[in-house]
Amino acid sequence: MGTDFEKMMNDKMENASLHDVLPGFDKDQAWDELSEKLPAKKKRRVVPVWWTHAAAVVAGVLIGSVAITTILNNDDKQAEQQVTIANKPVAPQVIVKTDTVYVTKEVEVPVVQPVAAPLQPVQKQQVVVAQQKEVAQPVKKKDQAPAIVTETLTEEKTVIAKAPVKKVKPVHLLDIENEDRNTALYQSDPSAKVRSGFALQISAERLPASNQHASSIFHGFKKSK
Amino acid sequence: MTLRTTHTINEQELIASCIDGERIAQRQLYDKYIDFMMLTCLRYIPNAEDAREVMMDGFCNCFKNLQKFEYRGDGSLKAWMKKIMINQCLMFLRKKDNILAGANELDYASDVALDNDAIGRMSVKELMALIHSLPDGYRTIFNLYTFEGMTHKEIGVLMNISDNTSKSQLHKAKALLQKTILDHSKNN
Repeated sequence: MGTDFEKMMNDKMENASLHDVLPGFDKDQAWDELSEKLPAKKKRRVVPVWWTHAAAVVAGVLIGSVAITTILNNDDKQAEQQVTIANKPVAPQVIVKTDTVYVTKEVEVPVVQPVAAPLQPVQKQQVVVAQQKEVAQPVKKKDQAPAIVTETLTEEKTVIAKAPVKKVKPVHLLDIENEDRNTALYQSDPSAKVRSGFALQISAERLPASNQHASSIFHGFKKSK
Repeated sequence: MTLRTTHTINEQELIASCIDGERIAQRQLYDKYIDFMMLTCLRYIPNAEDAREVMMDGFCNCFKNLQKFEYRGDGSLKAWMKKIMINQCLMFLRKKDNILAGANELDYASDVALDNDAIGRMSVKELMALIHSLPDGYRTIFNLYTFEGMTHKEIGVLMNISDNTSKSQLHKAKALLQKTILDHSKNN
């Protein structure tokens, strides 16, 4: 009975129409109220054809300008990178250094002596003339010991070289008159002549100031000879 | 208006148009199912105005959630929309009052011998009135079991009651309805 009851109820309601149950129901009014609650449809904008062409042209110009700007920016960045790389002390660097080459040349330099000093003869002296020469050398890295760069020698340094010792005739101050005897002696023994001259030089240099007169006499005598 | 007059597109195309927001397609879908959905709401909600409001809210939910619907053949859209309407009705009843409140206070008659032609002689309007006379709890469980074909387990989950409560409520609803129909047939 129960199953039949439910089946009969179901069949009866399946074939029912809304007009039979609720005759005054206004579908259109219900739809108007319902459509107001529904979200509005997205309206599609109709774009004319010439607008698309204009948009294409504008888009092309924009893309071109952006591309050019991008390329220029990239060039600037690359230049900056190159400069940065050049500043890095990675690659070996060559710098010009100067070196000095000495050339000797004989010049006559007057010997200036103090008044108190004994007069000396003019002697030929060797003068070293400095010449600059450029030498290329690699520079050591920074992290290593700092590179020592010799400064350029701009001044000519004078090195006084000793002139060859000339023969000095040994003369004893007290035995000037015995010159003939000493000459004869040296002629017989040259080694003795040398020893005697050396002794005479030393004695002249060590001559005290009180004996200046004697020394001048000695030099005058030597010149005259 | 072309869609309303020709009816040349199938249901899937109609659904796609409704998802796109085509008012004409939505109106066509509304016209197609308005009677069935309104009757469904009227079975659960006796007041016609309340049923109308609930039906409109149900349609609105259908259109808004139509992109989630998966078409599985003829009748799938109708069943999906009907489910939405029933949920809308249950939500309305839950807001209004406790559905099961007062159901146990009624004395229900035991099973009565009901003439098979008694229901056939009644009109749909009279039958609907008798259903409306049931308490909300009885009526809801009777509708879910008789017209929607749900099991007691499904009804228990949907209404948050036990299976036995659903069975008991259904038994009382049927007995009361049969007695009412019998009295109605005797009076007429």
